[in-house]
Amino acid sequence: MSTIKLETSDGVKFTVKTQVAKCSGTIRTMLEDIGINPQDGEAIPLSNVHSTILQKILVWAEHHVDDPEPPRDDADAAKRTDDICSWDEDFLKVDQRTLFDVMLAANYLDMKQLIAVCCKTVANMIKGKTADQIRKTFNIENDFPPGDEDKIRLRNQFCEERR
Amino acid sequence: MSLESAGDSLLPQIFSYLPFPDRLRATLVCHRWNSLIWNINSFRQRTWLTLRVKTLDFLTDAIKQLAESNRHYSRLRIKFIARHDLLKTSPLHPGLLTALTHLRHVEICYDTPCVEEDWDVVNYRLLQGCDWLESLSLEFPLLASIPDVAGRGQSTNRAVKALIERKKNVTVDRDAIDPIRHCRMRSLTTLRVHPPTAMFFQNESKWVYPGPAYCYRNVTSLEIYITLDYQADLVYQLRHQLRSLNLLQVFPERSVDRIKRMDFPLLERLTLNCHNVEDMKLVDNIPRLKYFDPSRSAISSQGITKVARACPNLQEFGVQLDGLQENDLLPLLNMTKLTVLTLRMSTHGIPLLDYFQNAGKTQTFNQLTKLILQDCKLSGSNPLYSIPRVMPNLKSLVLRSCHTNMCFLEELPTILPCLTQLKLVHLELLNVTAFRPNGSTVILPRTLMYGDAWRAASGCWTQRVLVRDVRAGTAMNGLLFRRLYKNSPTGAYRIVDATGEKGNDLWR
Repeated sequence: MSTIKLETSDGVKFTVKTQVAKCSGTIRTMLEDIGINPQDGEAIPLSNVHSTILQKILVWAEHHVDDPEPPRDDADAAKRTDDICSWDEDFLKVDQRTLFDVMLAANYLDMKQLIAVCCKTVANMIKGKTADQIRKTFNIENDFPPGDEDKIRLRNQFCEERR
Repeated sequence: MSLESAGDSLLPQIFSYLPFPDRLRATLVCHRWNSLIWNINSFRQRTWLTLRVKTLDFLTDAIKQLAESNRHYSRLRIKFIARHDLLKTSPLHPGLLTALTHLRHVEICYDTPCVEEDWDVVNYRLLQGCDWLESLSLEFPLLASIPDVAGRGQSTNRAVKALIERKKNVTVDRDAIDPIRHCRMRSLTTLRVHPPTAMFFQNESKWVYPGPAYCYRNVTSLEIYITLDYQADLVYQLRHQLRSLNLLQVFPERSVDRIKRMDFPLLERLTLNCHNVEDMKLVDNIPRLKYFDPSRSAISSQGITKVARACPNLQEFGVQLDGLQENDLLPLLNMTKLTVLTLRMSTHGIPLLDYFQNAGKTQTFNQLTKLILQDCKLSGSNPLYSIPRVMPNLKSLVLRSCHTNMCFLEELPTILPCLTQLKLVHLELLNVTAFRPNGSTVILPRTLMYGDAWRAASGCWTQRVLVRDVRAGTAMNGLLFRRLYKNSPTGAYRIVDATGEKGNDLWR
């Protein structure tokens, strides 16, 4: 079983099975297309990822390493968010900061399935909430000039969905 | 680290997991979210702007907002929900024209009857701005107070005259009576003309539809009532370019005769919603017909034979079952390309599949992938039992506006395993109501609750089961719906627009 080394932003080096590392599209591209040779013993630098987050992501990748490729679906339809498997649900029961760190890192590492699971989790946090509640949950500042919000609300009343 | 720092590539992805109402709410959170959500292309395309208009003044206000919001909606539906009084109306906001210029699809409908003077002018004023229109739909309820066609004509005529007289204060020119011509509607491809008198103007002594045929040279799809002979003219003029035709009503005898004699070289879809056009004569001149829905028109066994011979390419077909006897549907076996079959209105006692009773082992609908049962009364013993034998390749089964009774419901669990012999990927229950023998309670979902049936079925219904517009009836049934939804095998089905009498909040 071949392994490769990864180096995080804070200089921690991880030794990872190649197969697990290839869950990341970014690393896969590095290995296959750019031709970085893992046998050299040189670590692949992941300058955007902190060691604690990479640790977590590797746990996820280890668990999902044998997952089949997900079917491509069209971007149009609102997708399901209730099909997160229970292992992932437990895995993402973390504080918001870690969740977003994982999501950003997954984005950087191009791990589509992990991104999807993270997005679903965040979407579930948004669902059913009012704008105020959403702002409170994610600590977002309301930057609409006074009155604008009402305008948008009024416009939204006229909108309805058409399939 | 916060959600704000999630890049522009991640937020849209998160939004894509939100259902429509949540997305709409999320636009209120902050500037960035608002613009990100509206910039998701598919979201904008799926969003219709519906203006529910009480007065034209209100319309002006709403349009002003629309223009200021700087969003270019591709579709607009204007719904007039009260009578409006044109004379008191202020001139339309200039922003209206800007906003309308980008519209490609417009629906104008009136919930309440309004006098024709009104709709003429309103339509004119609205449509004048639509340069890039591709589809236009005008819908009005009929004016019951105007007794006959001639009366209607006078009224419209008056409206036109009034328009011209008002020219001094409203900027209308002679073309005003001809709104469609006035718009540059060269890109119009779909035309829906509702109701019988819409869009037809009496010019001196002759009825004309607005604009000469060249206005419609790109129209390939037409949906029309024919209550005046002149309306058949439009069909006649367009007959060589139409690919889709929906006749909603053909009233005068002469028009019926004319339509029957017309040839439609390119027509692929034909829908008849009128009783008096004999479909068999019509299909002789339509060589390329792929989709033929005679709707409620009665058809005989010979008729089916004839359609099968005249239209070798037919892929979709509908049959009205009333009046047909056992084995009368066997001629359908001659339609070798048929993939979608609609059966409607079987109210008498013959169990549905008796129509295929004598189909031998070799005679099966091998091509058929979709069966739609509409308005059928699914009573008697197991009407669906013989489906696997007769239609072995069925992928999709739709029950639409069907009345079922207890008997059917009790049997559903036994039917389902039998249906599992089919590799169904789609089961749709639309508007299905089920009655107890006493005729009072709607209880369809109870049967769907039978866990065994679902488990047996879930193996084969890999994609989805759609339950739509099913009325739960009572709060109790609402509860059943909820449990049903909760217990559903992942991804197996979804339920849309199912409502209970206790309100629409069943799903929250």
